[in-house]
This record gives sequence, structure tokens and C-alpha cells, in this order.
Amino acid sequence: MSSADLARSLGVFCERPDRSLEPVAAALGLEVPDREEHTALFVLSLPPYASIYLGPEGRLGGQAREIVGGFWRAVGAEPGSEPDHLAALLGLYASLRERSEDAASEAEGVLAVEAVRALFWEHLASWLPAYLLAVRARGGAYAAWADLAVAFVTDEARRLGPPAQGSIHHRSVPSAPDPSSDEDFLDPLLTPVRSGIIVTRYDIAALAADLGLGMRMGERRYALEELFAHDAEGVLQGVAELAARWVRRLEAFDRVLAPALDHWRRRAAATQAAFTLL
Amino acid sequence: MSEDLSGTARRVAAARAETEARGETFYPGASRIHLAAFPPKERWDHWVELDSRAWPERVERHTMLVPTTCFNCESACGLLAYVDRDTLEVRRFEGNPEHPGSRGRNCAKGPATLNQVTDPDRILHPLKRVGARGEGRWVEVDWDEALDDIAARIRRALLEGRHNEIMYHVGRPGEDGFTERVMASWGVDGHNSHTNVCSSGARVGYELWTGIDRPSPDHARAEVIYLISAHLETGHYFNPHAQRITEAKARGAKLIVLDTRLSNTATHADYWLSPYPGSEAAINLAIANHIIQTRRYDREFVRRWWNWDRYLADRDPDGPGTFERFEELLAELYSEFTFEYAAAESGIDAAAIAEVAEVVAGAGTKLSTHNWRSAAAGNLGGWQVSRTLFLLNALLGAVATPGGTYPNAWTKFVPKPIHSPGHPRTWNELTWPLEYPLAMHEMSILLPHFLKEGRGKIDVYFTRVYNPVWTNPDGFSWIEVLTDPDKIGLHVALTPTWNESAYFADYILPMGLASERHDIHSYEQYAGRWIGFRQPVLRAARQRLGEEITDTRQVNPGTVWEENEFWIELSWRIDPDGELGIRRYYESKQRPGEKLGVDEYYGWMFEHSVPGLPEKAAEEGLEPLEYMRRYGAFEVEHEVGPVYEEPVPAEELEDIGEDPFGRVYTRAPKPPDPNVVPVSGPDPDDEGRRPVGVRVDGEILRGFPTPSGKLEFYSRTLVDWGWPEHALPGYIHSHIHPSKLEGDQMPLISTFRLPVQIHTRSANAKWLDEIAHTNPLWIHPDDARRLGVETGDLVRVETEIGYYVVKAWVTEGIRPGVVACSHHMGRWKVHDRGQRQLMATVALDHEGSRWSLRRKHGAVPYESTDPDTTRIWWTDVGVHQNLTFPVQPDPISGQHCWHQAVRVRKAEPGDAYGDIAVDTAKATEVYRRWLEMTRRADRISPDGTRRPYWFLRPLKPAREAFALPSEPR
Repeated sequence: MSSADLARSLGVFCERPDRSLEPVAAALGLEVPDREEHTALFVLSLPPYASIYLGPEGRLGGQAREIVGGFWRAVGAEPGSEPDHLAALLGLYASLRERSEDAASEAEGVLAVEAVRALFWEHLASWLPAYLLAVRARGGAYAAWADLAVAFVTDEARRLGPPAQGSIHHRSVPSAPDPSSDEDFLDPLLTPVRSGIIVTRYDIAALAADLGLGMRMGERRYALEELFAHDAEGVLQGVAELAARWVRRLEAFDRVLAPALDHWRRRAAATQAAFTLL
Repeated sequence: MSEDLSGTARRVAAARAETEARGETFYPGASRIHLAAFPPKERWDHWVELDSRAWPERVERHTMLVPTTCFNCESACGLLAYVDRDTLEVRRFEGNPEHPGSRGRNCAKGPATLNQVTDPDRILHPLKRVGARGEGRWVEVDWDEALDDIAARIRRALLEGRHNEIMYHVGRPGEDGFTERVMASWGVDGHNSHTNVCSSGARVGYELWTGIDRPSPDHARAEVIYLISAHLETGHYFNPHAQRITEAKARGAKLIVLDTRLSNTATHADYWLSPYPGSEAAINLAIANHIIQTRRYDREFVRRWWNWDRYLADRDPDGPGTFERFEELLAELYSEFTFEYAAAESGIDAAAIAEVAEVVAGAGTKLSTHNWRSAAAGNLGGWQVSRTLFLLNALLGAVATPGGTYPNAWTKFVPKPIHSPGHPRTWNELTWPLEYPLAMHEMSILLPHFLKEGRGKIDVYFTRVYNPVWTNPDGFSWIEVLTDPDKIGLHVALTPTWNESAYFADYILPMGLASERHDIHSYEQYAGRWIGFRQPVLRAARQRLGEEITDTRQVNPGTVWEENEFWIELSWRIDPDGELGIRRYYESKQRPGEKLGVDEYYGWMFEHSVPGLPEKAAEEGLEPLEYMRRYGAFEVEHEVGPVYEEPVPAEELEDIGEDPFGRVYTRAPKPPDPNVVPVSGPDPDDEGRRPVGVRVDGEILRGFPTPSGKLEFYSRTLVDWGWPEHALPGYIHSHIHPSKLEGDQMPLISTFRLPVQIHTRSANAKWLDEIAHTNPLWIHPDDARRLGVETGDLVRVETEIGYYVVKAWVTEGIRPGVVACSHHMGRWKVHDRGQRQLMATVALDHEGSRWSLRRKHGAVPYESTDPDTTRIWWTDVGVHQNLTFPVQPDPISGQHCWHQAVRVRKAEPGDAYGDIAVDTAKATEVYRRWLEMTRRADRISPDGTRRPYWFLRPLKPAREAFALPSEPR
């Protein structure tokens, strides 16, 4: 039960905080972040939805959410309007863990364990470590939560053992961005599952500051496009350096997560190479 | 698991066990913020963003976000005003994510409120007429002069017993009950509304079934959504409804749309049926018949909740009186409505209707349906469209269920105000004439004819954000009475902007827009209940900065006021010493003898009449009024269930009586309820007990506010009031039924809106005007070929009283044999002064009863404080077709039946775009012909009253005023 509770409590931590979160935070040994920090991270910077990090368009909803929703239905659960929200996924994970532990028969237990394993490798580990990397990189009140979540994911990976095959989300992913051949390389760059890196608004702001340019307010693509229009070389170099940092960070994860992170590492390396070659 | 991690996991599990052992919840429920580009509310006091126009320089804009609600259509969607902290100007309007109805989403009309606020042509000070009415000469006056003049006239009328000479005529109110209570406090039956050009028809259908006159579909959770309306683009609550319909569709729900036009809504339908207009009820009945014949109806629901026993008692008195007998009769009642019959009436293939019927039949209790305006407002007998539509819900038991359709009063919350004046003791026959005892609302379209007939006169006539000359049919008759001081003594137009009726007023008093006034409202938009708060955002902003504001004119542009404060002030001047008994309703409770202010008015309401709001506000350390000023809305109840199934509590059952059909009456007084939403008031029993519930299977349940307490499939009211042939949901041949048209006539549909415009309110919004500024005649290619016209050609559309000249738009989006033209266009002005972005300048002439209106020129660019007005590129502003329509009131609902039988032909030499010609003498003839269809209360009333007392009525008079006059006219 304890592992299920850990999953569930890590999940509710990315909901909007209020006083009802205090007992959960106390049990986890974390501070309750204020609402402004929550909004800054989960609304404005890194929305905790799997579809953004697994979808071929890097956007909320679409094919990736459909696949996740399909998993919910496959295990007999109502997917709700946001089946790929991290809190929902961790809640489902906890429920399946409990189901596996409370199974009435051996066959039911085996099926439940397989459901836990499938959910973990297909829809959680396939993006969560990379996402947590981005949260850690940003720092702030949620960094400690991200550390705990990384420990949890690593531990679960070790406990469950490697999957029989790679995540469905990592199959048939369109190519990594390549400024030398792609007419539009910004969308692929900003699509995490394609580029292997998560480019946040803070990353772009930092890049702008490094280049001595103002960052235009707007979507990330727009801001990046404007920077590129003024200093193409600087932007390419900056992205290459960012990708290099991602490669290093991804390699620093425990190898037990390799089945999920190999895709990310390969793509991040490809992105680094493509931007460096120019 | 590592030592640290397993320790944490154990701690969490232990904390959870301990918390749950106390019966408390450990894990908070989902509270996630849906992704949207809203500034977090923690930063609403000071939101910083960079000025995009200043780029590449980093210029910060510091704003304060203040909520209000939109004042354009009736949806009352939440808005957030971005108030510049430095200049205290509103920079823009966006959605309010805290609003439960609109959830942060808006249509184009919401953000365009900014155009209305900064409109260079808006009226900023009170104006008083100089010269003759309609001459176009005005002087600015101060508020005191206007108030004293108006108050003195009203006071004199009241003192002389001329209560019925005071009338307030409102467009869509956009508020819940404030002004009705003003009329009540004056003791006048002076409320007049626009409703019989709008929703009277649909209301009757719902009222007869449920005792509540509006539907509230739970689209979000429906499996099948059936619309006889265009709710994905326009219509009441279209934005809140559209977003929920879209969500349901994304889940896989099926959307059925019945619309003769290929509307934007129809384009999103899974099943689009384009019927011959007026045949909609026949289609509904064919679907109903399919459900009945295949026995797919919810038998238990019908048995428990229909008043079938009363039907049998009256119509099958010798039968066994069993439900099985009723089922036998039900199977016969609608057997003629086969798919083939519906196909013959509607022109739709029988197989298509059968397919849709099957989809509806499979919806179970998750069928949401909606009809508003549309066919119910177009046709003679249109009220049977909504009635037959709700029949489908009633058959399937999809009534107040998740995904079903609720009566609106259960999903609406109207907080009780600080003062509640009683019912007026007068009856105004200018609005509630004897000919229309069952009309759901005032017979406002007939006012010019009644005044001409000498049925009465009006001494003080307020039009409030209402424009009868332009909106109503037969506008020239309106001009005739508005220019006659013997018929209307003083016309006061309360309006933020110029309109065609205000030109003929004596005073134009500028009232605030969405961000410049206080109002409270609640609308049925999903299965919960909420209240929204409109407020003058600059008042709220300056109060946040510590200023004391006591009069909204201190913050509004010019001397623009708001209605709440205006009515309070006017009422004090009518009754300065309190001798008329009026002033007491406008006095402070905190400071007895002093004038009530809006802060106290709303503060009291939010403190005392909105359950849960004080507690919610306290969580944030706020007073309830502060909370509403900060967030603009509050959800009173998230999900309402089937209220009719609730058992009546024992304390409400005292010395009960019961009629033979299970209606239960009690002597226990009605418990106080902070929600004063209007519902019907069925009569007490012979011993004076009030109806409290209905016995179903031995249990006393709340039921419906109908005479029987059940859903009234069979309307005893219609039987008693002279219309026994319509006692059941049925099909009435429309006035434009093919059998009633001459060979060269075709029906004209005129009831549809343009998605970004809203009647008479939005012409002062340049963004909207640029998008939509014309209303061509939709005409099918087959008809176009027959007439020899192509897109852009001028055509004459001839009605019974005149004609208009408009451009043709040849499109397959309309069925052959029918033409359509939106009523949302054709604004005009006679003089230079007025709204210039969407009004043509016209010559208005008449000789006797023969009127003409000719365009001098359309919109043109002009210099103003707004540089955009020099960039106006459109000249076309559409054609004012309503002027050419005679009044066609349905004899039962009173609804103006908008569809017209017209002849369309190529324009004649000399015809120019926008030409209009009408003979008001012919309009009078048509009025009289339709009046002959009525059955007068003094001839058919079963109980000596003017109207069924149980029916809803705005500003319901005291019971004694319902008595028929001793000497009828």
C-alpha cells in the first residue's frame, strides 16, 4: 500500500495547492508551495500533461491523449476529461497497484501487475523523468518534489523490471529537428518527443539574455522565431548547448530507466548534433 | 525501495490511515487549472506584461484585473477588464476563468465591449429634445433637470390614479428582477418586455409541461443533443452551451440539428435536417410515435410522472382508468404521425427522419434538447414545437437527469434582495389585453395598435436598451405613436448608444455598458446554479486603491450613469417624503432614513441570500461583496438533481389535503427560501391549503409546479380556457403552411442572428461591424434560376404590407422554395447625429399611412477620436426588413409569428438597395385579422379571471387584479 500512497500523494502535489494539501505535504516532508509558484510552474511553464511530452505535435490532447485514454478504458476506468494529467495518471497507477495487491485470485493478480507495468513503462516513465529534469532545472519550490518523484520513478522501475518492448509513444516519432534541411525546424524543436529536450520559456528567456536581445512576449515558437530573425547563429549555438546539457542530464539518470530514456537521449544527441554542425 | 523513500512512503500511508480513521479525507480532490491563458488570480491586483507595441524595448504595462459580465447577449459571460494602474483606463476585456457558466471563454462580442466603451459616437450626457419629436435637435441637460421633470410626471400620475400610464419597456434585461421590483414599488403594472418578439412561443410549450417556462439542457453530459436552434453560433447562452456541446461531441455524443438553413450549427451536426419551416412539430411527433410504437419509452417514468390519470378521467371516463389503458390510447394518439407523414410535411426523406428517431430513441435519459426562438418564434402554433420537443424528454425520462433537460428554475439562482415590494394591485390592459389570456408575456407588439384604438394612453414611457422601431415588426406604426404626444406623453430612452427609437424620444439618458453598471444575474447553462455580478470596473478598481466611490458617475465616462442608482434616485424624487409608500424600498437599513446605496444593496444580498458565499469569502479573508467584486461570480450549487423526486419533509406536511389525482396540499407555511427565482404558483385547494407536493406510489414527493404536480401531458388549463383541441402536444399548421400560400408566395425566414452581432446592441463595436455588416437574401439556386437572379442582384421582397429591396445571395445552404434574411442588419439614422459605423443615413417620408425609407448613403469613413473610423471600408450595412412585417401574434402564446409569406422578384427600375415601402393602414388590417383568431378571457374564462393565476407572469399583480373587469371593453 505504501508505494501506492506515495504515487497518489506525489500526484496530488501538482494540483493547485490549498490548505487541504498540508497533511500530504507534511507526510512527504515537503513545504506547501504557494499558488503563485504552482501557477508559474504548472500553468505557465511546464503543464503536467503527458500528451505535451509524448505527442508528435508537442501539444495538449491529440493522439497521445487518445492513447492514454484508451489505456484507462482498457483497465476498466473512466478516462475523464484529462486522462493524461500527471495527477490522474499517478492516481490511476496507485489504484492499479492497490488492485494488484488486493487481487482475489492469482490470475487477477497477474493481470493487475501487468497493468501496473504497462502503465508505468508506456505512459509514465516514457516522459516523466525528462519532465522532472525540466522541473529541477527551473529550481524553485517544486524542485524538492521533483527530486522525490525521480526517486520514486527510479525505484518503481527497479521493482517492476524492464519492459518487453519500448513505449508505443516512442514508435514512429517524426524526425528530430534539423535546421540544415527542415524549412521549419522550430516546431520539431519545441516538440519534446521529437527533439529529446524540453525547451521552456525560461530557457528562451535565458538564451535571449545571453544574446543581449529582448524576448518578445508570445508563444515560445514566436519568441524563438523573433530571436532567430535577429541572431540566427547565436540561437543555433544556444540550442546546441541546451541540447548538450540535456544529453548530460539524461545520462546521469540511473540505468534502470534506460528503456524509457534511451529514446530521449538519442533524440537529444541528434538535436545537439544537428544544431552544432551548422 | 531505498531507505529514505520507503520511510516517506510509510509516513504517507500512516498519515492517510490516521486521517481517514477520523472520517476525514486525506487526498484533496482534483483542483487542477485547465490550461488557458489566464493570469493567475493571485496576480489580479497587479499583473505585469510587456507592451507588444513597444518591442524591442521592454516597456511594462501594469494592470489590475477586475471582473464583470458581458452586456451584449443574454449569456452574461464573465469578462475580466484589464485596468491600467497608471491611467485607470480599461485596456481590454478577456474571459473570466472564475465564471462557472462561461469558464473563461468568450465569443467575439465580449472583447468587443472595449469598442463600445470607447465608441466616439456614444452618448455621454443626458439629452433633451428641442423642437418636434424626431426632428433631431437636442440639448444637453444635467441629471437633476431630467430627474425632476420625469419624477414630477410620475408622481402626478400616481396621485391621480393613472397608474397604467407609466410603462417601462425593456429589451433583454440582463439582470434578475431589480427593475421589476421598481415597478412593483411604484404600484404600477408597468413592466413591458420584448419577449413576444422572442421567446413567448417556446415558453408556452415548456410552461404547460413543467410549470417552468424555460429549458435547461445538460448538454455536457448528454449522449444525444437535439437542437431546434442554432446554439453553436448564436442564441441564448450560446457560448456556455456551445462549449458544452463541443465537449459532449468530443466524447462521442451525437448532435441533431433541425434548421432550414445550413447554419454554422448545422455544419457541426451529425444529423442535419432541413425541414420546410413550420413542420418541426410534425417531425418531433413522428419521433415520439416511433418511441411509443417500439415501446422504447421509460414506462416507469411515464407512469410516475405524467398526469395520465387526469387525461383518462376527462377523455376516457368510462374506461378502467389504468396505466395500461393509457398506454393503449397513447399508441393510438400519435399513430398518424408516421415517418411518411412527417416527410410529406417537412420535405425530408422519411428514411432520414427514421434514422434520427432511432438515435433519439437510443438516448435514454441522456437526451438534451433545446428550442428557443427559431421555429417556436416563426410559426402560428410555434409553441407546439417546444412542447412536442419536450415530449421526447418526457417519454424517455430525460428530465433533470445527467445529460437530460431540466426546467430552468432548478438551475438558476435569484438571491432575495434587501427590500421586496408587494404585488401591484392594478392590471394594465395595454400589455395584458383580454384577447390573450394565455400569452406568456406582454403583448408589446400590439401597443401601437392599442394606442391608436384608444384603449389607453401612456404618460411616461421608458424604453430601456430597447428599440421597438427597429426590433419589432411594423416599425412605422411605432413611429406613428412615438411621434404623437397624445398617445405617449413623455418618452425617456435609457440607452448607452443611439438607436432608431431614441430619435423619437424626449429624453435620452445615457446608461452604462458592461463595465459601467451593477447587475446580478443567473442563467441556466449547465446542471448547476451560479450567480454573476456585473460591476463598474473602474469603481471597483479605485476602491481597491483605497478611494471611496459613492456614485458610479464618478468613474464612468462623461456623466453616464447606471440604472440601479438611477432608479433609486428617481424613486426618491417621486416620493421625497415617503408619503406614497415608495421611498421605504430605497432606504438604507444600516442608516435608516438615508438613501440605499448599491454597496449596501449587494452587500446585504451576498451576505444573506447566497448560501455558501459568506463562507467561501471568509476562506480568503474577504467580505461577500469583496469576494464578488474580486471574482465576479459564485457557484451556488455544482450539480442539481431531479428536484421532483425529492420527498417533501415532514415539517412541511401539516393538516394535508389531497385531490383524487394525488396533488397534496398543506397548511404549513412555505419555508423561507433565499432563492426567489420565478416559478409557477398553482392554486390552493378549496380550503386554502397551498400545494406542496404530489403522492407517487404512496410517497409525497416535491413534483412539478403545475396544477397536477406532475408533468402535464394533458393540459386541463388549455381545456378550461377555451382551447380543448390543443390539450395535448400536437401539430398546428403554420400560417406559412403550403396549403395557405398562393402559388407565387414562398416563406421567408427572418429569425436568425449573425454570430458576431446582437440585435440592436452591437452596432457600436467596430470590430464586430467589420466582420459582419450585411444581410443578403439567402435563395436556393433553383429559385434563383426561376427568378433570373444571381448573387449580388437586387430583388424585391414583398410582404403583405409593403416591400424591401435587398441583394440576393444564391446558395445551396437554404432549401428550395424558402428564402431567408437575418434580422440583425439594416440600422439607420435620419440625421447626421447617431452611430455612424453601422447605420445608413436615410430619408424617411410618409404621406398618410404610406411610408418610405430610402438610403442616402451607407457607412463612410470619418474623423473622430478613434483613428480607426477613418479606415471604415464597408458601405453596406444591410436592410431593415422588419419594417415591412405586419404583426402576427399567435392567439394562444401571443408570440409574434415571424415567418412571412413573401413574393420575391427582380428589382424594378428605380429600385435602390435598402428601399422600403409600407402602408400602415394595411398593417392595421392584418392586425385585426389576427386579432379575430383570439378567444377572449371575458368569454371563455372558467372562473371570472383574466388569466390562469398559476401561470408565470412578469411582475405578477395581486390576485384581486386578476378578476375580469365588471364592464369589459
